Amino acid sequence: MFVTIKNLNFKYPGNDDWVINDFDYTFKKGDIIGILGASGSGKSTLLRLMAGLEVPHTGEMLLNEHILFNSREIIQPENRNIGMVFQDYALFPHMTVEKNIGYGITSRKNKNKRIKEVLKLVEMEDFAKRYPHELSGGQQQRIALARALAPKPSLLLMDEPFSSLDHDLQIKIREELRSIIKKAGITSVFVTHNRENCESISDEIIELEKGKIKYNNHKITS
Amino acid sequence: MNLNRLKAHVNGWFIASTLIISLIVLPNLNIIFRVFDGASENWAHIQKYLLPGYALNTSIIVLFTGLFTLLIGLVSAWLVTAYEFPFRKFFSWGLILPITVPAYIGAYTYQGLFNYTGVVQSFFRNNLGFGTGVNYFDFMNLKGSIFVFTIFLYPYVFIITKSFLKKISASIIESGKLLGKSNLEIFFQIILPISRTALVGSVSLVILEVINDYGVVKYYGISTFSTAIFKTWFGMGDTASAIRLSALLMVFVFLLLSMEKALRGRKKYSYSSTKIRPMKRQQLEGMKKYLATIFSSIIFSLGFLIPVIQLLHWGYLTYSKVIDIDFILMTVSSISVSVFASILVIVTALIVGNYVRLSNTKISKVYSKVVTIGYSIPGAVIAIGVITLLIFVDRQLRGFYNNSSFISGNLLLSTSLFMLIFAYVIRFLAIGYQSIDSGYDRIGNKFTEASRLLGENSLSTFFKIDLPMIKPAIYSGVVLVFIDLVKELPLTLILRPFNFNTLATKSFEYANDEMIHEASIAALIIITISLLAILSMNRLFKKEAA
Repeated sequence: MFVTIKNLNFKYPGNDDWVINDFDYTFKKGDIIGILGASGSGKSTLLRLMAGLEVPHTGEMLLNEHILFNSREIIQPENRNIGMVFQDYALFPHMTVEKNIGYGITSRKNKNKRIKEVLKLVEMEDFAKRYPHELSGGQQQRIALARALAPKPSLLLMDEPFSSLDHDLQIKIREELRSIIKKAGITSVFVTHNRENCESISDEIIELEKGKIKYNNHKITS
Repeated sequence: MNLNRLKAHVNGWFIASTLIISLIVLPNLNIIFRVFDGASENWAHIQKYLLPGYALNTSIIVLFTGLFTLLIGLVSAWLVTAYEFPFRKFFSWGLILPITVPAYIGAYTYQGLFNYTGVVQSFFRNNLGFGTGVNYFDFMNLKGSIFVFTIFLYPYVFIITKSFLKKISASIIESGKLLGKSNLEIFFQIILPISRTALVGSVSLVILEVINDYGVVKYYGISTFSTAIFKTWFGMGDTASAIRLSALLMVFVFLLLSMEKALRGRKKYSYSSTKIRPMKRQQLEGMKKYLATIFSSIIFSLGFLIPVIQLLHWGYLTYSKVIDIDFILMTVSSISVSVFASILVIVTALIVGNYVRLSNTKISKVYSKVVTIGYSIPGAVIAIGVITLLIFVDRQLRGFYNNSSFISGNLLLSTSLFMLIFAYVIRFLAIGYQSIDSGYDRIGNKFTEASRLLGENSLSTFFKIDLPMIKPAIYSGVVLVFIDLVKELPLTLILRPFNFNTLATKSFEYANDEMIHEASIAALIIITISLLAILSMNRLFKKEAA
């Protein structure tokens, strides 16, 4: 299995309740997994734990057979090779689109080539010199996705990627998003509270409740 | 905490912050521990005959200055926010300007203006037939000091209350009106209670400034805790009593701060909607609009115009005598030390601030409180803590100094600029930290997290993402600390190395040596620097808002 999570437990400091409670799951390579749940169900926390932005109390996670954390070691976020699209995109406001995308690319030689590639992938080639505030919500989302994909991560995480968009744009973007991710061939996990968005984009759905899996199903996709 | 969690929290930021926090706490702990060393022979005398006077004078000044700054600050802030009257726009920033005049400079300027040979009494004698040989005005007393503190410190209340009132929603006032309340009733029943937090917070700042002051009370010959600490330390050479007085003053300050917390109350006023319609200013008509202008003009004149004109006149009379190469060198070194210390304060604030925001632990919360204690502790107390600590360190290092060919003498740290800059950092870190903290708060953690996930570690993220994004907060932090450092007096007077002067100490020394006219040039430079700094910050905020 590509991603394996075992016995994951987490609670926030000063809070007695477990936000993630004995979570076990495995993800297949190339799948898009949607995590569905109400506010406070632990879905965003799960994503942050996978990214390394929170430290679990117990548990183990492997990505492509490499340990990301277990009881003895924990890999820092910058060394996990995981990309993430944030809820409000977190595009660096003092950098142009191409600087934002190039930020995570380590190879200087191929930097410009890779920037062009991902800009083409998200169909934003003409926007390289723009600053984030000069883009619409949908354009910002595509640039955030391009930035996350640019360093060729092993796993892509997306936190409520549609929440900042209006309904019509959500429908348009989610179709594009699925097509871009599938084209990039990257295993992806995204969280949402919107069942419609979740069903239309994911290969597999997990529903969380109080940090536990309420149900999961493998969706039949084309 | 398991091993992974420990590893995640113990990083370079934690180690650097812990070191900084230890350095801040040590001098203060030093005072607390040394209180138990035993009293000197003077202590019984001080305790019986002098201490009640110090406590009474300090309390009277604190109480009345607090009360008057509250009144003037609140009324002027309400006038410029809620009403339209002639020159309102000018007064809405003009009434801030008295903050650029350090209270000790205001003290000797007013004394110079109103003393027997000053311009006011001379005018009365020469033109209005007042008799000679009688001193009609005496500023050198408690009342004079309360006037000076009030007129130069009320801007703290004005600035904070004004920015709070600006955020009050118009619908609150309109609801009051629709419920049949008059303007006065709305002010007392709605505005005053909801402004309580801003008022109590700003008056506390005024009180901390008053307790910290040494210049005004020393010049006016009033015995307070500050002057007593100086007197026992320098006059009597009685370290033990100075430490005991410092500890008592710390207790006094902490009592006041607990009172402040209680006065702020449990009520919190916030809006459920982020869209607040600001109140519309009401046009004052008839006599009322002129009264508003007259009131604002009087405050502006007393706090800025009159003292500055007087200083300019004295400066004109004495500039050729005062300005020489030594004065220029002193000015350059004074400004350089202030710039260096301001940058050091901000670097320190950036390190602790970054640790606090990235590590949401109990320790980080304690650290965020500790960095701000320096501003509550009066300069004289910090000075005693730092000097006794560094003398102790110097004594421990005596062997090393003796063996080193670069160091002459037995005292190095306690006789150098290091000691002064160290104390500056402790005292003014709170101001720098608040600015940096609000900058970090504004950007949140998401950009840092995005950068980490794109492969950068926390140090390179700090330089590539965090620093460029909080540039305005860094700039305003440096400027705010710099303004305070340029005019700082008590710490500098105690801790400066032999023959080292700043603009503040030079000005104060001239005034103390009955050379008030000569003191004006250094005073005018301090006021000009503060004025320029405030104007540049104002421009920055406007640019940011745009």
